[in-house]
Amino acid sequence: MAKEVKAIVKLQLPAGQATPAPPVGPALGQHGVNIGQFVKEYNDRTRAEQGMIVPVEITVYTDRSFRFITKTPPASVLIKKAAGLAKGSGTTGTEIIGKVTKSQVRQIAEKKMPDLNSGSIEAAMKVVMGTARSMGIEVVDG
Amino acid sequence: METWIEVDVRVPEGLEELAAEALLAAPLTGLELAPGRLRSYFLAVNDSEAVRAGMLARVAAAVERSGLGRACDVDATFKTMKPIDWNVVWRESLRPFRVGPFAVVPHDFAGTVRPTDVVLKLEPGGSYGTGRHPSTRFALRYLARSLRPGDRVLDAGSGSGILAVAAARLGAREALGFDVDPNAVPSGEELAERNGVAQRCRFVCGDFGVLAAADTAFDVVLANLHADLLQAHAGDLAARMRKGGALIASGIRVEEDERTRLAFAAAGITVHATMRGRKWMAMSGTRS
Repeated sequence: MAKEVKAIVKLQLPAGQATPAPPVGPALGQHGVNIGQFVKEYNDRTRAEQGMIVPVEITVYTDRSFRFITKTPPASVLIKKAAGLAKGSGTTGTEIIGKVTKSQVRQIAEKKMPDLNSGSIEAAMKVVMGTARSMGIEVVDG
Repeated sequence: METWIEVDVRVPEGLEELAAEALLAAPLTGLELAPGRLRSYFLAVNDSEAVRAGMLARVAAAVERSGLGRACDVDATFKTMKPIDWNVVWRESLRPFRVGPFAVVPHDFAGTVRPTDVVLKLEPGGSYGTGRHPSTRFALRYLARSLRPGDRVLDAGSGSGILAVAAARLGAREALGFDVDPNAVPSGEELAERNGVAQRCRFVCGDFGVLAAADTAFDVVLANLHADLLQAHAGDLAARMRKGGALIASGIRVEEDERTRLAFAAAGITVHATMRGRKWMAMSGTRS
């Protein structure tokens, strides 16, 4: 079949629990995608990761067909795991609630490289360190 | 119906993921990322000044704290959306349409059709389209002109199975579809079943190599593919046609017209008619 890409839509959705409600409806509805089918397929594919947010990238073609790939978990999830925390500070304060090492940052950056649009591992590490700081997690040498 | 509030957050480019992680907390359950922008939604019943201020504050603080951007570069706007049932929106966009003698309708279509219509029931799936693409329409039109009841038909690159099933609906004795995409087999079988022609349709996964020795001398060969594939496989297509058999080739960008004709001519197929849209074209030919 002759296929032309109409749009690429990036969403972050609750694994196994997406619904046709926003953000899925407005994001995909405007491109004429079968929303019900996307929701069903996304939930089937992410069922094992329930409780997590799983990013997804949907390619919509001009004939309104679509394909999607699920991406690595958000950096924050990986950082919390590395820091041994259940959740981030959840506040906009300045307290430090945990720490991760530079080598853990590098590991996370390597895992996230394909999704971060970073030109180099150093640039990806910078974003991961920024994310850690934004969550109240300190980056230490090691 | 529920009313939703849309929140549109502008963030420095490159910090979308970081900002998304800060933004995504109750009452938000998901969001859309675009360059320099996040869009999310929450139910109007959960709306308050504090909820709105909290969203902006979370993102601004995260951006500031990351050391990669400034809080003042973050901005959020809120908009009340018209209540919409998104499933219905999609379904309504699937209005039935006619192409040649065919009436292409959603599989649960309850309306009436003309007695002369050849009904094709189609549910657009994930992998395949709605049958509205010009290349599919062209192929359906040519098929209706070329096919005689009792013909044997080959569909190269069957995809959803729409062309093979359409051939069977027109009275083909046998319609064989093949496609390198493994989804094409269940998709084609389901479509054939839905249209009551499962007995006369068969779908296999693979390229030309998957065809058996007996899968030859077809009266009509359909190929709704890309021009480069048509050119590369012109010989394979010709080899499966009977002498005097018809080739319907579609999915050709208009700029590939000449190259595709030449490839067909080299394979012994004479193109005698074309249909053109703005970007796409189809060819009908005969094996000499």
